Amino acid sequence: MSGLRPFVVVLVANAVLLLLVREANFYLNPLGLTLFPAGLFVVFAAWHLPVGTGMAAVLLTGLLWGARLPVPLGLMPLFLGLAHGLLFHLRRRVRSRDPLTAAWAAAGANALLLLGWTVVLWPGEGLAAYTLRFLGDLLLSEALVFPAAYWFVSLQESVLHRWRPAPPVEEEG
Amino acid sequence: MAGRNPLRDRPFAVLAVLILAWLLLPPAVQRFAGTAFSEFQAPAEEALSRVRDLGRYWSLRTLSRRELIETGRELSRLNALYRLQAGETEALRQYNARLRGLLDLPEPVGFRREVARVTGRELTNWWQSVTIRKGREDGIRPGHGVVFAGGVVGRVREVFAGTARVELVTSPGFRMAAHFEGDRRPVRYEGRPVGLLTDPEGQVRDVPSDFFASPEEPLELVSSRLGGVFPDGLPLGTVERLQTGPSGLFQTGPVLLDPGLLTLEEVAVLVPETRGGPGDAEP
Repeated sequence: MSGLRPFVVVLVANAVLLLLVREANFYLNPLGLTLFPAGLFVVFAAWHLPVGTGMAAVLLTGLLWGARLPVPLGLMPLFLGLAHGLLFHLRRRVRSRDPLTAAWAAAGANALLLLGWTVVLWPGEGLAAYTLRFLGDLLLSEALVFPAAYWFVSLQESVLHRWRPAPPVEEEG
Repeated sequence: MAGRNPLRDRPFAVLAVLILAWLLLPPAVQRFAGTAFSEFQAPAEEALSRVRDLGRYWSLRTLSRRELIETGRELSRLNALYRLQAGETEALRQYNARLRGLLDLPEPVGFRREVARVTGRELTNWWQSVTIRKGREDGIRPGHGVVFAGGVVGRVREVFAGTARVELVTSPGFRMAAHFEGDRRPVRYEGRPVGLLTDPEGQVRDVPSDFFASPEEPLELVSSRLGGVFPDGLPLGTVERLQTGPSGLFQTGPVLLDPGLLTLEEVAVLVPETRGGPGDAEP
């Protein structure tokens, strides 16, 4: 599965999901909670696409996300790229490609990314409150990423299946 | 025979090559890319916020006629009160101007209020900001102060064509000069991230040791004209506790902020007026 089609499908699906997550966070943020969905953006690209296509889609998703954040632009693509690399290596060991396995992988990658992001951006004071908020965000994100990954991976598979190129017509001699 | 691609099945090598390529790009190109990616998403975010507004409109349409009449009456009473207060403010402004003239004091910088709708919230563990539906085209620039009915909101951090990102007073990197109501000595206000299921809080530092605060006798922290971003006297928060710092000379304490900061829907950006311009906000 290489080429422009899977790249476009993954990028568009990620962009739409990013908007939906922003909308969810609009209502969650006043409660002191943030939904962090990074694992969802990498799992399908890492498990189903060739390295170049998947990495390009993931890095562009990172640029889209990072452009609206008050951090250096390359930071989010770097995090997503590392997660993509990790899952890509993992796909050789895990034979199953069903959405349930992908959901576990997305949840694991998401927890790692959230932990890494929290460590890198630690402000240097107020560790107790910072950790408590991190745990709240982690619980919420994992609780939502796991079922969402199941749906999201199935959605991308289904769109790619429907949008597959038509088989070549054999000419009758 | 075609050679095997050395980057095939090597995601970290691909990532390293792409990061190197990104780092080698001139800073102007990187900045342009950041702005382009941000501007690209602005219409979608604006569309979402308009859908939110539409939902609110339809929910308001479900109100009965009786409820609308009662709300209208309430608004009419408030309107009368505000007109009275506006008259008093105008009289005070003229009195203030006369006194300034007598004492030959320079005119302070006035502000034009640019009212903007909040389209996005980012109240995370790492930073606290909101996106507003006005930007460079409306005269907004980085560094402008932002206020709402409950007092100070924050400062404009980034400006795009039709949107702007405002750093909230609760953001960990936020700093501003302030003073307590009824006292002119400046103190330093700092932001603190919003905790899990808690009201917003900040921190005040460099408070002289002769101040005392308690829940029964709280101190009102207000904005200071120092820095030129905010007019003097805008509410910032309440201080109910102060404790002496390690130096023994100054005190620090938590500042209880308006909970409305977490559910902002409309704010006003303070755009400085040039001297002699039609400023509507006399500090």
